[in-house]
Amino acid sequence: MLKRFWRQAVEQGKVQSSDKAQPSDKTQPQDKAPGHQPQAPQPLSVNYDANLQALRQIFNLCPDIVFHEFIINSEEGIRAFIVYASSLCDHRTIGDQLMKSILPDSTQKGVKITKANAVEVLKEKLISLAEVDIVGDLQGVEDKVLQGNAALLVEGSAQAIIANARGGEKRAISEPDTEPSIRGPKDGFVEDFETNMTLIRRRIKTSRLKFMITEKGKLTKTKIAICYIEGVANPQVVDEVRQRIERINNDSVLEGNYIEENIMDEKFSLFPLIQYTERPDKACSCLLQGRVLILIENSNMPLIVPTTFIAMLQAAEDYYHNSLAASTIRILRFIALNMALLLPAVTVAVFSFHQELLPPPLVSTVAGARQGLPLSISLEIILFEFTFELLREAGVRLPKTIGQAISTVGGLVIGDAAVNAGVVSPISVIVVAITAIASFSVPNFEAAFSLRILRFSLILAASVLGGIGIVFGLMIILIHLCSLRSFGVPYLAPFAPLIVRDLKDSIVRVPWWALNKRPRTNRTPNVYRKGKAQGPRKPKKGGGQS
Amino acid sequence: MIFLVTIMSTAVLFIPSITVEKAKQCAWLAVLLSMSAGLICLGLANALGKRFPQQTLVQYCELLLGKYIGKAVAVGFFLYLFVVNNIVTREFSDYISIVLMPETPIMVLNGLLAVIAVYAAAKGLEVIARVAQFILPLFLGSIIIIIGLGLLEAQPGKLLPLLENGPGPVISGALEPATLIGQIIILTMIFPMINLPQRAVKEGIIAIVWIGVLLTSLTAVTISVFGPILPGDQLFPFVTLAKHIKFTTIQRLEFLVIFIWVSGIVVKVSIFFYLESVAIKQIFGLQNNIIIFGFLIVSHTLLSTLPFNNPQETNFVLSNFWPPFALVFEFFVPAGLLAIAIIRGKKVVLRK
Repeated sequence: MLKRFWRQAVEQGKVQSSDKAQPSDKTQPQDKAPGHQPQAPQPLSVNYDANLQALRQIFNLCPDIVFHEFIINSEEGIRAFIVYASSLCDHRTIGDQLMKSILPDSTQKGVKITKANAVEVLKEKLISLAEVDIVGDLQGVEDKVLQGNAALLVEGSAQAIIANARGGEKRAISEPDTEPSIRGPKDGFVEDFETNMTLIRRRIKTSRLKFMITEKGKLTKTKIAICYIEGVANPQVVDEVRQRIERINNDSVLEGNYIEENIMDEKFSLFPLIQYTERPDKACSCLLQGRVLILIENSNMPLIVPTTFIAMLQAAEDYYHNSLAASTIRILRFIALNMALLLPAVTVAVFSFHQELLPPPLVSTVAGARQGLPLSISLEIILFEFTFELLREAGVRLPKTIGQAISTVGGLVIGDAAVNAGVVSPISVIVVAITAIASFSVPNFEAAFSLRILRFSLILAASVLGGIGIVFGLMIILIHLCSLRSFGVPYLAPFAPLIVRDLKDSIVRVPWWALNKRPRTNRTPNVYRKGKAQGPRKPKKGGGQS
Repeated sequence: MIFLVTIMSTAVLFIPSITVEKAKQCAWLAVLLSMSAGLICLGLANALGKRFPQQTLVQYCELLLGKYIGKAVAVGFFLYLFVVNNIVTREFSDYISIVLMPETPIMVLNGLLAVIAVYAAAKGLEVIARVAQFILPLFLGSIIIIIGLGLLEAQPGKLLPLLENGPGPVISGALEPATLIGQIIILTMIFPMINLPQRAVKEGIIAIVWIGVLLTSLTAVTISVFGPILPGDQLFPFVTLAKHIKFTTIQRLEFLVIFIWVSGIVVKVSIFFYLESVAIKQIFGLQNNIIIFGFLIVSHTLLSTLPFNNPQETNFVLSNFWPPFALVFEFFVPAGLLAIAIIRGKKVVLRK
């Protein structure tokens, strides 16, 4: 029984995959415009009924596809129908603009519609929508309809008029949840492709801002835009991005990571080699630095390449606050990063190998607190870190209302009770808590992932070899980091290799009047952001009021 | 930059002890003297590199000396690299087992060090250079801080009298640091892989000057804090110095120093691993990275337990037998090669 089922399933799979293979061949030359299908497309017929039949066949069992038949009001009484996806189109556009421009007596406008010239006249003179196109084959009509266009087919013509009536449900622009800020714009990217392009265009009003659009995913047909500023972004990087994206040949793109993991420089990397952001202002600032943005349909997090290690520590807000404050906060984050990575490991190493490092008063306190505890410090910390990760994971997945219960149970019950019951020492609870807070102050979530993995490895290394274990572990991480590249840019860029100019905007941020060059790491052809010596100046004495 | 870390990492630990033992209060002069030796070696390396911009020392050995003698010299040079690497590994594990981990077998430490270094070496020269560049500021910073804090307690009077026993002890004391700084000769192996060789030479000069200045001041500070007798008796006067320093509430600086020093050692060992692998490839025409690196890891892990039984012996060997051996490969071999190249090169030109 099972075997037969299995075989059936496999055969079905084969059939499906061979079905899939056909459109994939058609979509192979990716840089051509979407919907342009060169290989043996089935042309539309002159016969009205045949077209209708064929399209109904294609959209069989697709209840959201609407066929609307009518007669164009002219002397001949031409039959016509429009087909559109009700779920993707704006009904008002179709009703008020498309239908209204077709249906009223055309003779009033002084044009004569015949079967022969219907398509032309309609397209050129009658339809009042801005984006109108003509397609001549079935596959094209299908693609266009599924992209949210309305297709108008007229009796006696082998061409379809495609009118853009895109609409339908989309999320309103809202505050970015993952990257909130106190000062700075509050709009965030949404899932809608065009809205996202708008958000960028609104900020960078130059024709040099380019969007190269391709389509990925044989089934999802997701639009992807490579966005850059001509003359600011390095053309080689843009080209590299385009080539890498073109190499992808998969059936679906649901989120940025479907693309991200396919275009990274390394097969496996512990650190994020591609950045993402939910903030249009940050995206634009990256574009202006000469980086490249990859907008993906249905994802509210465009990807940014190339990126560097230090970008993990930078938040958009750093550029909006006073530079001294921003620099201080960045230094704080840098310390937090190190603490999140090292604190538990160092604690383990000090307590189990190098007790002599502790100042004498602390030794007695700690020794007293650890008296009679069943576990060694390393086991304690590993256990507690593990518990904390559990709590965090549970908190992320649960609905917000239950999440609070989790934090109560985790924070109070487990932490306090474990100490009172004499299972763990208060020291390890403190250490784990500080580590947790420190790891939350790293702005990049993806980076926090890699920090977690490395933290556990370092704890293990420290519990085996003490301080030397930590140093060895750090050296391995450093070697790994030094070998990474993100689209050709060394990952540790302003530090190794040392680029003095870029240090201005690394762990510190100098004031805007001193940031007159774009970062060299991105190898931008257009170096200067602005002229020199534009800093604030004190008014001359005696000048002004006189 | 890479050279600076490479040489400094070992030099810092052992130099004061050895030179002070011989040259007493004038040890810092000895270090200064050895700097000039390093510059000579760099000059040799530069001259050879200019003559053979596309080849490593191992390759032009054969070119100049014929197949068999050339191979023999190349193997000798490889052995030099091997021995240096071995001694460094051993110094490292000795030191760690004395100061930090008395119960861990040194084999474990050696093995781990070798594995990490090979990981870096397998990634190539560029990665090693980046790592070196990254830790360089930490490295220099820690040394400068130690020197600066040591100055607070220094008594310059202990540096006197100058040249009490004539220049003899100073020169013999200079031999050992000279061999360490002479390791700059590895530049001959790296030349073909550098994009801008002339910049490398410039950086080499800067590195040597920095090393000279830092080591000299370090030795001087050590002597002026402890006097001329104590550092000679101790194994690691530099760490003793770091231990000795108490800056208000900051104590136990030596741990930080040790850890930064360990990272320097990792860089140094990985460079030598890399060079060894290059040498093996070029001498024996092997290509398989896994076999080469596997062989290197195993041999270093095992052999670095052999040469000395204890750190005293290490110091003894370093100060007595090591300099002549090292000098052969750091000075005489390159110098000989250069001489031959000049002679034969002229012939070649004449024939044309």
